[in-house]
Amino acid sequence: MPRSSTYEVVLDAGLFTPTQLQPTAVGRLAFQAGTRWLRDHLHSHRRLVTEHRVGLVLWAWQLEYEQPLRFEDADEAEVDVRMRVRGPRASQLEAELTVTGPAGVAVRARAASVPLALSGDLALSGAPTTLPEAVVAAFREDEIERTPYLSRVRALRGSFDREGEEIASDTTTFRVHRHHCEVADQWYWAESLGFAGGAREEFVMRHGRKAPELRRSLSEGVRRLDVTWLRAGQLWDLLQVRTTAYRHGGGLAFVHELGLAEDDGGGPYAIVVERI
Amino acid sequence: MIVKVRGVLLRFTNYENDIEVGGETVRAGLNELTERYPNLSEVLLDREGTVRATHLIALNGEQLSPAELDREATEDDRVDIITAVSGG
Repeated sequence: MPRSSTYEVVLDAGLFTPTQLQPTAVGRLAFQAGTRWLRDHLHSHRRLVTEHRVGLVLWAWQLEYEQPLRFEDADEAEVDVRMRVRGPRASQLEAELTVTGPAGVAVRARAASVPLALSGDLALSGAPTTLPEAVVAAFREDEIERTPYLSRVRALRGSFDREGEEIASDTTTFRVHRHHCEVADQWYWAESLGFAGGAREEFVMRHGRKAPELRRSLSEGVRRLDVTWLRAGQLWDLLQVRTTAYRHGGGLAFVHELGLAEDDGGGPYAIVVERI
Repeated sequence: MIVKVRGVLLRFTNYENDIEVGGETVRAGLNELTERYPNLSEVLLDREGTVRATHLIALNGEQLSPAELDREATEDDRVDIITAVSGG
């Protein structure tokens, strides 16, 4: 049986929209949960970085809202998290998380990260690697999956292009400030969900008169998110978020491409797909 | 040339992000930069003085290989230092 960490979180009003947990709040709960699992069952994240020189960079994330959970529904929720190694050469670390309220599982999330071999400099810079054997050995047999996790973002974009109807496309800019960042002065990954959500709200403000259905993304909330990160946003980066909205399968989908406003030749940072 | 410093490297330049340096090549500009900010030198360069593989250098948006750092650069050119990825 894969090991889990299960614990209670007290629900405060800042975690919620009027209808659901905020995606960024779920991201923070998930990162806290993964960090807790590592501490409980393996090595703390801090020890991985400082002693084993292994960093972790998130590259894919899925979030699905299931049963209702609003601020007025409960004082606390239960968080359950499990982790496993994935890939034929242990090239990924995956966390699966549920947050459960009185009505059942409210959100289910899956995060896949890539290990980095840190070069040892103060900037914590590193290069993708596989998990060291000593770290893999600390996982149980049923916590190791040889197939890699595959992001659905590329397939989703293809299906929107083939089967969907584009409503509009637009751009919004944001500056990455320190409160968006983690210890290495690069964006804290959960904040990129916030930049995408902010771009969607700007989009709704600009295009909602022409396409009133866009407002459903605020009144009903997001049902599912799929994200792929290609690079990390950096402190003081001026981000440009290109948002395209589609009608697709009776619902709405927003595709956000996050990148630098002024191209540095390195390509986009992340693709966030929100489905309503 | 103007060297653009971002993110994790900013604390090694005391949060100067657009830094004007002299020199006729990108390499010469980077040398001036690391002489001016010795703490940045330790992060950006390895013991042999080569740019670490975890950082990329771009000239006007075009990424340069280590061998291409001798490309000519004028005062109007822009050099980006891109930290490929950091792991916190």
